[in-house]
Amino acid sequence: MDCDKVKELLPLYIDGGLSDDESKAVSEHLADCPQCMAEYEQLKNIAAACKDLGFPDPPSGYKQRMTAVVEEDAKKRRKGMFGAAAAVIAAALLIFISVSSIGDGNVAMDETASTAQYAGEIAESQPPQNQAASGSDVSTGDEWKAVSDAAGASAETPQSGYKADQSAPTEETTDTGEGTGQDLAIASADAQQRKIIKSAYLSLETENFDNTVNSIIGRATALGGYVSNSEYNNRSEGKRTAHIEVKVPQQSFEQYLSDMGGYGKVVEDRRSGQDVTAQYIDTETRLKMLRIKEQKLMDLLSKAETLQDMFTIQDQLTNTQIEIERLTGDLKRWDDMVDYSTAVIDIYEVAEIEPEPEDNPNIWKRIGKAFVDSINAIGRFFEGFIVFLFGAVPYLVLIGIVAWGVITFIKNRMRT
Amino acid sequence: MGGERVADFETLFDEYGDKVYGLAYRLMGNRDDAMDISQEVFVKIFRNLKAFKGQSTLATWVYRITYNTCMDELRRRKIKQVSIADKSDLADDNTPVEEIYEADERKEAVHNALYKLDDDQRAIIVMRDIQGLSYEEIAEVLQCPLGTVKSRLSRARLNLKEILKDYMELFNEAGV
Repeated sequence: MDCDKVKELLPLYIDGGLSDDESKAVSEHLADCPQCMAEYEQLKNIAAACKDLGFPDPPSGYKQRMTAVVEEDAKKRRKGMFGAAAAVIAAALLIFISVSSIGDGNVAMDETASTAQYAGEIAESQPPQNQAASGSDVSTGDEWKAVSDAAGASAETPQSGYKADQSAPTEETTDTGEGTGQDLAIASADAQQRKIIKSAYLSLETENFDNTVNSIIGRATALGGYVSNSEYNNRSEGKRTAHIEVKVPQQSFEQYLSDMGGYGKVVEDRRSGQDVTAQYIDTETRLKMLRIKEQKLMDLLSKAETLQDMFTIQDQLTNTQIEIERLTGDLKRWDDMVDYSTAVIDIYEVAEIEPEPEDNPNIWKRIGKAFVDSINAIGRFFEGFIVFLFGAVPYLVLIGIVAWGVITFIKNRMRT
Repeated sequence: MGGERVADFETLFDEYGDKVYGLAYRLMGNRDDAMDISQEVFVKIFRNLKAFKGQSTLATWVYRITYNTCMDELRRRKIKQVSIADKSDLADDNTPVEEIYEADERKEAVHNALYKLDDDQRAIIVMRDIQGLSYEEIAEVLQCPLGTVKSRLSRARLNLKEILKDYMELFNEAGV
């Protein structure tokens, strides 16, 4: 064994850390290598000096101080446990309150979560779901009726409808202005989450009637839409009319409407977006509760002992299921209405398109109107938000208590 | 030994109190730190005593807690130093070197040399040569294989000798 190898092994040789073979080889080498022997002595002496160093005795009062520290820590931890227990109790209380309020059919808690982002709606979304759901039915129906009324009127008496349109050009323009304001308000919300039923009413004048009708239908089909209703009136050549209702996928709707200008002169353009988000969420929540109820009833049914009990439960179950179906249908219908926007288009054949009435004088009026509408929309949003904020105060207080408990608990933990 | 239960503070403290302090002192290099570390260690021990199931001996468990607490603290200080200023002379100033406490010249030389070693090398010299733990016990304290203990100890001893080469006349003859 050479010196380098031995020097490498020496540090462990001094306290028997080598294998027997290595140890023997090193011993043999040391016997006739004074240089390595000197090295060995040094290492051994340094180790011995370390051993001499030893551990110092702790200072006086060491034990008392350690005892005090450990006892204090134990006390603090008991307090920490108390904090944790308080937090758990508070959390349980919170859950209890929220669950029981959902159970009562009051969905304030769910609403809090889901409407936080569009607080503007919360003020009006509080009535019981039944009413909210049917209320929306009514309003949807109203709107449909309004649209079809307008359409029907103009279809039956195209002349008078046309005349009325013509005679009130200012009204039209204000309509358009309102549409813009609403569009702005809608666009500012989260378009992904919101359920908005979009619809539009347009009336067109054209010299080339057949072409226009074909283009309107063809374009709708190309965009993935379809014609849901159409009527033609060919009584007098040169004054034909058509009433077409088309459904267009919502994402292509704006595109579709803006294309209309190419097919004729747009004399009327009314657009509306009905926001059913609040009703939709209400219905969803109610559906969820009903499903739970259904499950519970089924559990009960399987445990029913008397025939009388069984019938009673079964009755309940049937009612629940009917209700579930109804609400599921509502949701489905809303989904469809949201996915496919409706355009109602009246087309009038004219011999010659009248020159564009001067509408520049109105532009400032329109800008002013749009501006005021936007300000109002923002105002409404904040109003709703403040109402929501105050409404949420009781929950915030509870959450605050829980958070305080948790933080105290964590702080106690961290400190040690 | 094995998983004996120590019911009360008295018994455990009488057995390990001095050793925890001594180990902390040698690892940290001064009395204030040794005191702080000891406090932390005993708090940890009594918090976790119930969880101690005797996978190792109580002794190595106590030393491991002490060792880990010291290393955590040393690491924390190093990070702090780096973030406060990366002046290397400042770092040297902060190296814990005890006030002249060792009366004997040889002891003093060794004491000072120990704090020039890396923390983990110092730890292994302290446990093996000062405290006298066996290789196996050290492996348990450090939670590493026996081979690692040996190679680290070997390197630590060579480094220590290198640091002490100016004082070699003190170590050329057999101990006092």
